[in-house]
Amino acid sequence: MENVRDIKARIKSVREIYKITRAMKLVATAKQKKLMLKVADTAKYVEKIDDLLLCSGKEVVRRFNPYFTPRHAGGKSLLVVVTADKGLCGSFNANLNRHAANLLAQNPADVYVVGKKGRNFFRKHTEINLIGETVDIFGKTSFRSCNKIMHDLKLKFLSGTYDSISVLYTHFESLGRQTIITKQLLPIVAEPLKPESSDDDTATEPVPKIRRFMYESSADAVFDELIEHYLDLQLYIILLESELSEHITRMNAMDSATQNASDLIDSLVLAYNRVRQAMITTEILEIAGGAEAIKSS
Amino acid sequence: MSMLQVEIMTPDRKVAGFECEKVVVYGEDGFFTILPGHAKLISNVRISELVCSGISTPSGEKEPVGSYFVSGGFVKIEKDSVQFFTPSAERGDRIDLDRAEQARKRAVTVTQTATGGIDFDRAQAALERALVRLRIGQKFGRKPQ
Repeated sequence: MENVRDIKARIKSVREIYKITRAMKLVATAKQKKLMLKVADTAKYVEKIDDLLLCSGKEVVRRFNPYFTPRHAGGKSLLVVVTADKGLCGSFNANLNRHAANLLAQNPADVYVVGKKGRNFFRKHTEINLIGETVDIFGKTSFRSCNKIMHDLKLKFLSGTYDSISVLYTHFESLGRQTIITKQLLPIVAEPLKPESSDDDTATEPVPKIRRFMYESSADAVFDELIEHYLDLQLYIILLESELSEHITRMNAMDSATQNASDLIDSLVLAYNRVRQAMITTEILEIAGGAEAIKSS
Repeated sequence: MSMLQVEIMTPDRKVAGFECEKVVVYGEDGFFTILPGHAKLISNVRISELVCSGISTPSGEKEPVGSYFVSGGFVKIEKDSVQFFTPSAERGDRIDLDRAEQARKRAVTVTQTATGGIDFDRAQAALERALVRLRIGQKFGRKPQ
């Protein structure tokens, strides 16, 4: 039979855990709500920039932009793995790292990692070439700080160090669904944005002159700069989505932890009551037995 | 008289939305003024100050002149709607001058020590942003501490 004092101590410690996980869940929920609005705002902005790109893409004369140029197959590639800085969010980081490891086993590539959890993982796997890392970016994710990473990646692509750059991250679809996907950043694959396709577009669907825009200083210049901005935005929204997915996963993990703790408390309290009742019964029996013995003597 | 519908947007939020009579923009080829009925135009914008005249805010207040800092980006003009897309923007009278001054000092240090490459380019851009912010802020009669 378990000791009453032991059970009491366990109940106390589980209650403490319950309080902590519940608080963490509340924090994650608040952060997730805030970030959700930010992601929605940024998505709207991205849509508008896409629209501008489509407009100017049709007018581009030079039809050459280094970011679109596909390189020869089998070239060197870089995989950017976006994980979280903090744990206690279920299998969020473990899944990402496993995914990345599988992917790299099939298609060897160098790795650039975002987030402490991913960094710690890849540091242990010395067979993978880790070329760079960014940690402690989440929580204060700003467009400017993403630009720094993107600037680095762009240079690596333009200088020919890498022939393709992809990102592995957790894509946010809805509150109930986040999936790990790989997205190619460079060279740009988005079909409607390709300046080369402008000829076909105008041939099949002639745009009336009056609807066209003027460009200052030229459509080419605007397009080139838009592409830079577009790429920065791509990475920004990826990081925001990853952070949002992290908070959602943490919220769910902490919710089930809180639930488990509460179940455990219930069953421990039940066990405690049983043991206590058993003790009282034994004591009464002893007293009754004692009284009986005195009476009969 | 018709008015321009001006919106200033950054990736994070919409910084401002209002009606006004005239906007002066520093584009890739120099300054130009947008009046109602402007032709459809898409242009680059430099790190600069947007000067808007005859503003009426959605809450109904009137302001003769409004000033905004934009850190580059684009402007799209279509049917009296003027949309600015920029990495960051602030109202002229709400610029954090102390932060700008710190950014300026930081950028100067980097430009002096860096030999070139990414750091130098980034510091140069940061320096330009800081200087424009300081210039706009000082128009409003404030000084960094």
